Amino acid sequence: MKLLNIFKTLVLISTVFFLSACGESTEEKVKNLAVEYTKALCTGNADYVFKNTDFGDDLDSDKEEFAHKKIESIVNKNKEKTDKKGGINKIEAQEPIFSEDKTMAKVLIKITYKTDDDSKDEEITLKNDGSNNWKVLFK
Amino acid sequence: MLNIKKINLILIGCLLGSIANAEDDPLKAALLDYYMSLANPTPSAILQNYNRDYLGNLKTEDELKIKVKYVKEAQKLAKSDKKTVDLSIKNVKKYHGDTVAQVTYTQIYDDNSLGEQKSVQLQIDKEGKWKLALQPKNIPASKDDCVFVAEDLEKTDLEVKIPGVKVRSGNNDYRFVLAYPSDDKRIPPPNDDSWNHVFTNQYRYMAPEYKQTFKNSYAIIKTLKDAGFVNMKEGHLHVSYANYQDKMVTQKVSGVIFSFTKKGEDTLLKNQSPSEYYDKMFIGRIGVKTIGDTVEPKNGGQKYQCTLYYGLLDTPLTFSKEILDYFKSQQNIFAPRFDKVENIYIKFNDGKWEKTI
Repeated sequence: MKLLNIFKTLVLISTVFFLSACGESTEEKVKNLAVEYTKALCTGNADYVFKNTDFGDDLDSDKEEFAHKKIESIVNKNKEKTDKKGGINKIEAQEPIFSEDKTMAKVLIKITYKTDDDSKDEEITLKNDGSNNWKVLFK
Repeated sequence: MLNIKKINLILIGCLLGSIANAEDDPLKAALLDYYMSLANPTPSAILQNYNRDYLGNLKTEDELKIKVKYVKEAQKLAKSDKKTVDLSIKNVKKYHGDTVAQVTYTQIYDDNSLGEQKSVQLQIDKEGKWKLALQPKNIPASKDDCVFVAEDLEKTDLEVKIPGVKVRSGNNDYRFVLAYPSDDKRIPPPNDDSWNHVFTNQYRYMAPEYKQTFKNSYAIIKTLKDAGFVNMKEGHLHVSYANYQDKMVTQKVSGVIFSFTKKGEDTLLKNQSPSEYYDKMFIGRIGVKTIGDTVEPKNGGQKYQCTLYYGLLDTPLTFSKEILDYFKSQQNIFAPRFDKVENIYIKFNDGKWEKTI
């Protein structure tokens, strides 16, 4: 009987942990994605940006190539601008703001630079494909 | 000598005292919760003060846009040096079976100074709690609402002097000029007896920065009407951005276009075609721009700050040459039919608005 109670308690505790971990994970997932995406945008990581961008529909090979090139050029320009400011010092993200149906979220980001006092505020909009896979909506 | 710790304790004490008082007043408590959330202005802390029940009809993008807007507003407010420790509720009006409240209040800061008067909508959410409105509900228009606006203004002891004379209302100065626009065909025919309704509707949907301007416009129109100048039939808000030839001047002009007829001609006008209607009708336009913004007319000459123009039935008007030239340069808006100028002074005196010399 005692063993059963201990077992029940353990199950309860692990359920609570599991549930709270799940709750956190979406927030953290979205926030981390927004930060990593911003970082990739500013440091020339076009592959990461491409992989994590929501293009709406599936892309055929021609469109995919075009989209990749477009992203590459944007990312390179961003990198150039960032390098002029000595590179990124810090990317701070606020907790995500979710839509009521949790299909979209916005993360407010603040980028500070190493040799430039100016900071830049960005809004990253993310979309959930329904299976808690989040991608960034490209502006 | 008080040290920082003691001061903080006193402030917390003040805030707790306010909260205790606010317990009796759930509307005040809801507003104070909002100001308290500014101490930790994370999106979730801010948004928990808002009612999210009416977001279903919005597109997801729009819903997020609204949420971000309110979060940013609050975070900006949170950076302010002054902290709100209490609120003075000036006016509460309830609608929709008392589930929606329009609350007018003033913030009381930690240095005992008062903030500007604000008006916000609160709604009862699914859990029965008063929350700030993310998506404000329509408030049924009534004459009372307009009276509320006017009463609100009266407290500011607004003094109106027309034309070309500064008008002081609170901290804002406005300059007023009279004009007589004759044939703006873009204005739709008025709805009978609807001007109160229209004003109220327009006021409700107005951006906050235009509200004070509108209040001033409204008070002036109401005053003139009460003074027997006009038989006003209709009004609607006009916000314009003007292009003055070489320079695009983004005017923060907010005004009311209104029309009025001679008393007794209403029935006659109703039976006429729109063109006949406009021939008979006098259309006025009232617009206000804060002093300091300047308009450069196309001749590149003098800068004008005459930004409130006005049409009055049976009011003889003329203008100085420079003002006339200015209006002529806007010929699509105004036909230059000005005869002579009359200064009209209206003053709030002993509880009443009256025309003075």
